[in-house]
Amino acid sequence: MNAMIILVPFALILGLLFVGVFVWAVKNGQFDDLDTPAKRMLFEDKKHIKNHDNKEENHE
Amino acid sequence: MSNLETHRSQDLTQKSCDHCGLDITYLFNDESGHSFCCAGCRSVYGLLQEHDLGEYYKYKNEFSEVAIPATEKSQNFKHLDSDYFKANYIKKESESSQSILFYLEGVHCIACLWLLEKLPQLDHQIISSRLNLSTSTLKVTLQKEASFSKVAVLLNKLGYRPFPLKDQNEHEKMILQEDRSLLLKIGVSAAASMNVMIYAIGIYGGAEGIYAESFNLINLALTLPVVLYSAIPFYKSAWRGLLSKSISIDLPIAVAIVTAFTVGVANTYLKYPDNYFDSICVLVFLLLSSRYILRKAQHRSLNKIGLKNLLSHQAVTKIVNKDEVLVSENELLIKDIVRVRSNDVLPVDGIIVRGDSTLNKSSLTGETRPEKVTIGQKVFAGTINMGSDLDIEVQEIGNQTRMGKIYQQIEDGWSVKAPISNRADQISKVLVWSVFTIALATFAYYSMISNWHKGLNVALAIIIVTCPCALGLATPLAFIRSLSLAGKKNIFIKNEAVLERLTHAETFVFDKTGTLTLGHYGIVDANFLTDDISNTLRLILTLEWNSQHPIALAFKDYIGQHLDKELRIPFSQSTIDEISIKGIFGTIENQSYSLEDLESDSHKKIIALKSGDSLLATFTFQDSLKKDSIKVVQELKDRNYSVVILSGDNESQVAKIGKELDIPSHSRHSQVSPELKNEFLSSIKNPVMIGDGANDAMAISHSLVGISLKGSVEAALKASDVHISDFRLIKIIELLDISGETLKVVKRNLAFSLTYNLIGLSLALFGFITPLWGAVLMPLSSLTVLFSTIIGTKRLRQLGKVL
Repeated sequence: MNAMIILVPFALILGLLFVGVFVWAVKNGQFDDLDTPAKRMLFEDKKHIKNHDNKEENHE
Repeated sequence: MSNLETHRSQDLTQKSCDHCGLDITYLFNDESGHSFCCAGCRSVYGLLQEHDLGEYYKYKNEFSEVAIPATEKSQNFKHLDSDYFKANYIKKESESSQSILFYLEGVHCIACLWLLEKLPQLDHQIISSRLNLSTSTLKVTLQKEASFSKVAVLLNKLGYRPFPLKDQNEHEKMILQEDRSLLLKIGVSAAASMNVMIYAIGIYGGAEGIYAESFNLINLALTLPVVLYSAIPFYKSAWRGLLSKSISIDLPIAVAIVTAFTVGVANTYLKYPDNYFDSICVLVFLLLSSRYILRKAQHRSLNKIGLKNLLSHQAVTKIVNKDEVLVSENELLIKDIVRVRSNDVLPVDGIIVRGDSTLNKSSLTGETRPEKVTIGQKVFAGTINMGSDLDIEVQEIGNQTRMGKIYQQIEDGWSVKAPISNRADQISKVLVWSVFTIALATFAYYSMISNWHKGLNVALAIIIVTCPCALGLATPLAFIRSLSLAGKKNIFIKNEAVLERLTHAETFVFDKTGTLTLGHYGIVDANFLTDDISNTLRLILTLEWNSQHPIALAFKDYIGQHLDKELRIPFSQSTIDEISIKGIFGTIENQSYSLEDLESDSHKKIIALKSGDSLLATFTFQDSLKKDSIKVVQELKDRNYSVVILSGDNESQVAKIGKELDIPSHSRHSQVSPELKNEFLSSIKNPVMIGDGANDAMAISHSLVGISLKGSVEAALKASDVHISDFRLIKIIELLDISGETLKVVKRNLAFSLTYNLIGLSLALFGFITPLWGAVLMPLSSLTVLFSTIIGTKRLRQLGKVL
């Protein structure tokens, strides 16, 4: 049972660490906009190819 | 002669714009055979294709329910490049870049997000653009030498009207700070509850001696930040309530936390059982979480950005040493000379110093007939210059203008309009009082028959379990959900009281021009003197091809319905020789043609197509009913509302429209001045006023519920309870359904939370519920209300689809 002497403070410190990380994330603005990133991730990545030829087409 | 209505409805169901998806009334084609509703949409479509952004349409079709037509009226936004503007709005990001924040009108969906963040592809000077969907704000970062007006022009062209914002004003900063601090409090209480629970389980499991003591001490230490930090909002709100001599629903929570903690500390010191630390942490965590959800939902609804902020960014052309300079409206001084172009709104009150023109004063007086004005005459802000350019010497600006004073009156009206007393609040207050009394009585009773430990246990359980939080949540949450759902359907409701008031509505009062009618000229009668009708229409199309004049638009509208798609191309050999007040003169295939005014009075205009001197056709122009007016009026009558027309227009016009809508003559009121509209509205019971224009603004603010429709001047928008940014009247029926359905959900929520409180109270009274159970049950009831609301308001979504 003496392991408790080490485990309890360890658990508490670990908990404190996570609270610290959370505080950092909040202050850093990670939770300020909850809507946009959720939608932004839906877009597919696409390699961008510039296409300037469209104007010339379809002129009969 | 032809029956216009049937043609219109047939045609509209067939085609929709390839860019915005709106029904096409007159057709614009591009080279690859796509069809558009206007030149603006065509050019934006071309622009997107050229930059390989065609994917936009994929997202739009998938996610968007509303159309975002491109803006045809171009604005140059040159005032965004002035030094005044730079000093006030632009933020330096680094040595080589600067940024600006825009509030964008019309941001709806994922497709908007996708497109707006691709701005750097459309203009290489834009470094990045980030959109915040919840606030509709776009942050654009630009290279140092780039012009901000160009960005604004681009945004405007895409169909999002940009309003520059000062970099985060104090108010917004405060909201952000509050959001973050609430989140931190939740985080702390969550961490504390989880850890406290671990050691509490140890104690419940039978830890004894040194273990029990140290576990209790650890829990005390863990609860300390919850009581001293996370629970602050409850103390504050309870204290504020006490200061204003009213009782807040947070008072029992604050009392419960403080009592439980004090007793807990004493018990730990005295080595008694029962220290309540677990109850405190769980209670605070769950309550804060439901508050946070509520707060987020609240922010998502209407009041994103103050309207005042948006109104003061109009560009004005100022004359400095005979040169035109574009400045922002708040830079103007009295005695400055301002130039107002044709079709622009006058920004100030003043005296004309150069030019003659006609003014449309309908926004002030409701009179649709344009009025001639000349040098030396006083003119007012908010009226529209219909003729040639005018130079005006500024006399009054902003709040001092006649329009500004109307705004002022409207704002005063807001404070007079007392918010309807919230019944749920009343019940909560009574509940809080009775809970305290019952808790005290129980404490005394159990202390006498058993001991004060038992008494305190039961009393605490009662206070916690019966806290009327679910009750407090029941109403606002349902309202907020429907407000934001309505917002997605382009119905913007000022506050929740409006929804409730709407269920008491008895009479619907409609303004005529722009509400029941289109508000602009349409062709109501055509008379052809030649046999070749399509050729005649093509001639007109050629003459009006490049014009954006209202008459030209009406012609294109008509041609869109009456001429085959393949023929809707202008003649190639054509020149326009002259455009004047008299009409348009041009040469087509070596033959001269003209479109001239034959007859023009206040409500009717007859225009003739002539070839040389011979008459080819005549067209009669008049303001006509909206497509859905008849249907909506009928639907309202079917639902047992009475319908009234209240117009500033003359009697014959009102009678004509009234007959078409089947509104009896005693419900038609013509030539009513703004002041009289007020009086009239106060004479009928529970009126809902629907209108636009500043002349309706006062009436709108004095009715039970005021609704302003798209196209309304900002005054109406400020005064109204509901703003529908869609010209279709059918939205009113949708609004009625939303309000009815919401009230149903609210009542259900109230019934549930009251039942919960009663059952909780009786169980706690007889000692069946411990404070810890109370701390779990009470937030659970809040959660139930939350889900019941979400499910209830889900039905509202489907509601829209039926309509």
